Amino acid sequence: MRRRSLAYLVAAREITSRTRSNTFRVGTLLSLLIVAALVVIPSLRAHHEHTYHVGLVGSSSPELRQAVGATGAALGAKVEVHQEPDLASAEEALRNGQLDLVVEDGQRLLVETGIGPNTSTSFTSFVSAVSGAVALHNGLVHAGIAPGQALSLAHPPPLPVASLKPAPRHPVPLGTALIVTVLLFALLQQYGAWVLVGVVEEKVVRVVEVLLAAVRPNELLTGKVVGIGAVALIQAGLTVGVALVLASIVGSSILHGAGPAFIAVSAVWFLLGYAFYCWMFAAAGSMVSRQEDAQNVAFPLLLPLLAGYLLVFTAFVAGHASPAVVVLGYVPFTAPLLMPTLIALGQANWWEVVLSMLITLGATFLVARLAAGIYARGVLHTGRQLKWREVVPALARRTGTTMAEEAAA
Amino acid sequence: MLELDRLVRRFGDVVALDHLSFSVATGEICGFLGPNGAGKTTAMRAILGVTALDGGEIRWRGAPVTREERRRFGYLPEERGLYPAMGVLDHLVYLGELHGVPRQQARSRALEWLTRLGLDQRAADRVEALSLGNQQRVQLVAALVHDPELLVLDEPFSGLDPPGVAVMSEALSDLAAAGNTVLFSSHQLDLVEDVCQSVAIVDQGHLVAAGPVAELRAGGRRRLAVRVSTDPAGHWAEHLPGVVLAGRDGDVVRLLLDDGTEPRAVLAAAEAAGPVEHFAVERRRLSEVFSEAVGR
Repeated sequence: MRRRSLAYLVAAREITSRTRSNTFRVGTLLSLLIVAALVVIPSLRAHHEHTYHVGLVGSSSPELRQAVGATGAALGAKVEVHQEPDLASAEEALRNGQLDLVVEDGQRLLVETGIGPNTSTSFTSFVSAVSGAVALHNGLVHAGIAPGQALSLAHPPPLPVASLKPAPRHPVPLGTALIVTVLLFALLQQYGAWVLVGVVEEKVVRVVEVLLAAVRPNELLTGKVVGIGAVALIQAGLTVGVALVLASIVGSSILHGAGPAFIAVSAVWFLLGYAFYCWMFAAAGSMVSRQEDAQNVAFPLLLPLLAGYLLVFTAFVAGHASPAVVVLGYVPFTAPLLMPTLIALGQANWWEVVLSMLITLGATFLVARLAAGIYARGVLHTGRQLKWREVVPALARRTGTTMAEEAAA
Repeated sequence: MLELDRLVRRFGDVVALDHLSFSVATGEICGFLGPNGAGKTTAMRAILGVTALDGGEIRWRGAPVTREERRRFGYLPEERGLYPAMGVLDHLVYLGELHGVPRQQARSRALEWLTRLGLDQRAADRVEALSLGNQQRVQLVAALVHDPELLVLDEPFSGLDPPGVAVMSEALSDLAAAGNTVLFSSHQLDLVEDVCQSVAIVDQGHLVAAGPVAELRAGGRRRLAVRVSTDPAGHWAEHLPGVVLAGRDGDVVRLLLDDGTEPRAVLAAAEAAGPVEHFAVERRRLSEVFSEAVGR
């Protein structure tokens, strides 16, 4: 009971001091802005159809107007066709920006600024599409096909597409899976760094010895990782909550299909990932006495996270996970990133997800015990960076070292 | 009573504590002395349970000290440290709570001590906004906020200005008078002599001298301080049997007497040499006790 309350006091201090800090407030605000941009901008782009204004000069049939107007659909844009009285007024409208393109007598296209050979924009695609549509229309009419028939030949109805395998029952939108995975990586890395820096800071400012006169090392460690974890949850929850609210307001595609369920499972993976990594970051922090050494000692811990992150992208680009990714989805170091990917790609059954979660939980228990031993040996040490053999309990016993703190007598 | 009984602590090949034993009576202020690297900090850490022991036992009130009892001890480590960004009062309340004091009680005790040390106006400031001397005072309050039965202070006077030393000395004396036990290490031997009732001197991990300050100072060869106005250099004493000229302080000469030599005989010799303006039997300084004990 007492131990729990001491760890609780340590955790409460972490929560209070961190949430009051400007670093936390600015960081949270930035996270919210980034996530809001990730959610809103694609939706705005999806909703905002660009409208091209095309002017026709000279002879033009209704079918030619329709052929030009139909080019927008393939480009996700809207096309408005205007009949211009003569070339001069059409050129004037081009200069004023009222028109984007002029079709002269169905024979020539006119734009305001010349298009270079290597230019490739949505506008050049549009010009190319109009050029093709007008030329096809002219060719069909020239071949003696009636203009109405030419139009239907140029724009036939789509053919039905059959498939050998049925479509996934609850597909997770690719955008959702990517955003969530990027967030998982960023948050795990960030909160791991919080734990690392927090432990090193207590050593740097020498407060740890004062604390250890009242609190056991494992109580201090537990309070610290729980407190930072709670702050992480607050920040991550706020970020995801705002993202979901914004997504529902702008009608974002991230909530389509199995998006919400995927986000919920990914939240569980975030907790598991933090629980697994935080102990190791704390143990690493206890081995150094200067902030500048912290990144060095933590680098090996970042490698599996980075590797998992890269594998996520290769899997998404390929559209399926390789056997290596599937196997690594069960390894606790990479499971928090790769198992959500397997779920998004439809390559993991529910029981496989649960199995991977249980493996990660079991590994977390072992890692926490190991980390507590390392922390207890390293946290009072000052000076040079400790070696693993000095702090890993089993190795330390073998070399006869009972505690790797310096003999500051 | 605090008892350290044959404490052993090794760091690899280095023996920091080598069967160190001594005790401090309840309500007493004990100075813990020794050259650098003698084992003082390790012994103090062991009392607080911050470092593990390879052998020996620490007893409090006659029984092996427990974790709960240690929580009621106060500790000022050699390496001072507080969270720089925390408010002074918040920090003290937090440390009080860690030592088992309810929040409100910790708050009122912290304010009481801050007021006494002249820092009540800085209670809401961040720790880092205080001068180093004031941070040291806050650190002392951190050791006192839970009203500890035993106070273990590692170099508490280091870095303090003279007013700070005076306030700290007075606080320690008051705590001892109230029945608390204090053990503190220091290299300022004159200060220890003034403040402490007893001392324990360690060297290379083991005890080389211990006991009440008065007894230690009274031990050893008797000392005389003599001024003969016509012979300020003290030539008159150079060939006296059983007398060694230990030094001069202005025109006063200091003499060490062998066991069989009586001060009365020395006084007679001085009077024979000229008018005697000053004649006193002196005790040893603690610094001399220390030098003799550690052999350097």
